[in-house]
Amino acid sequence: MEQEHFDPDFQEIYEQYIRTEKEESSEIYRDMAAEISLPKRHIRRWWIPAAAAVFLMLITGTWALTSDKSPFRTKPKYTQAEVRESLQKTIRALSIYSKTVRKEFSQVEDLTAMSNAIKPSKKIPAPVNQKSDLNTTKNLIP
Amino acid sequence: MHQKAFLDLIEPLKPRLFGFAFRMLRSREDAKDALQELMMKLWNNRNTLETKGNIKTYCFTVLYHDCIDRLRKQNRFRLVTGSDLMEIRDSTAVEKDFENSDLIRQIRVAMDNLPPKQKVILELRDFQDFDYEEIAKMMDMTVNAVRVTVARSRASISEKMKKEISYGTGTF
Repeated sequence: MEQEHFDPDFQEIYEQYIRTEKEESSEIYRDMAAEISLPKRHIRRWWIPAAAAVFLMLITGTWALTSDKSPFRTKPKYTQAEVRESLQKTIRALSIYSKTVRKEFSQVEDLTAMSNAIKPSKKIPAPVNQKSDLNTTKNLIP
Repeated sequence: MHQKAFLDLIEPLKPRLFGFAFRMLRSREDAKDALQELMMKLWNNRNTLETKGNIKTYCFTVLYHDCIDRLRKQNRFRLVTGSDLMEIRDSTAVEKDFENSDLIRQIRVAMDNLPPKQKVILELRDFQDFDYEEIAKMMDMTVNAVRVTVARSRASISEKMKKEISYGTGTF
């Protein structure tokens, strides 16, 4: 190595110093060389934030489309089977109710019949007015 | 630029870049962080990397600026003492059975106590073997100014060495 202008008395020791320093730093570098490989790690890990973002989007999207509290919900609140079951129940209840209603009505018809029976169909003759009879000349005994 | 092409381009430079950062920051963790940050910057600009000219020069320039920023943030433009370096030495245990260990330690102290710009220029010249022209481009200086700085830095180090020896602390 060119060491121009350096004191010739120390030339040798200076070169030795440089060798020692280089050896020392090389030794330390060898110990930690594996730790200084940032670009590799950087390349390997670039997908981590992307994957995290996709995962978050999936979670948020699922919640938005399915949650009862979400304003963006598109999934029907009830399944077809649930709706069918509910309708069947309603129809069954309605038919039972209609039977009851019919029964009630039939009773009402009976009552009507009874009331009709009770109710005079002709006009009840008015009672004979004694006073008027007295006033008539027909009933006068000759 | 594909990953393989990028790594083929950068991988051979990494040990030297790490050495540069380590000597600038004097901390393996900080040097590692600086190098990682540089790698990220390079990766993010990989599509324009080929237009930057000399990749090696570009990498060292970016790393130099990052190291200076780190030192400023840590307020680490301070004098490095012999005991600081003893700690570094003991922890790394590189210097075994070294005859001139004291003198090398003194050079290290002198080097670390140079003004940051001088230290960087000397590092680029003596450790990384850059031309004066390349250093001038990187540091935004004239070639002559770089030559003068290198000579001055070396003179400063040898001066300190001589002082140490005259005080009887060296073993030279």
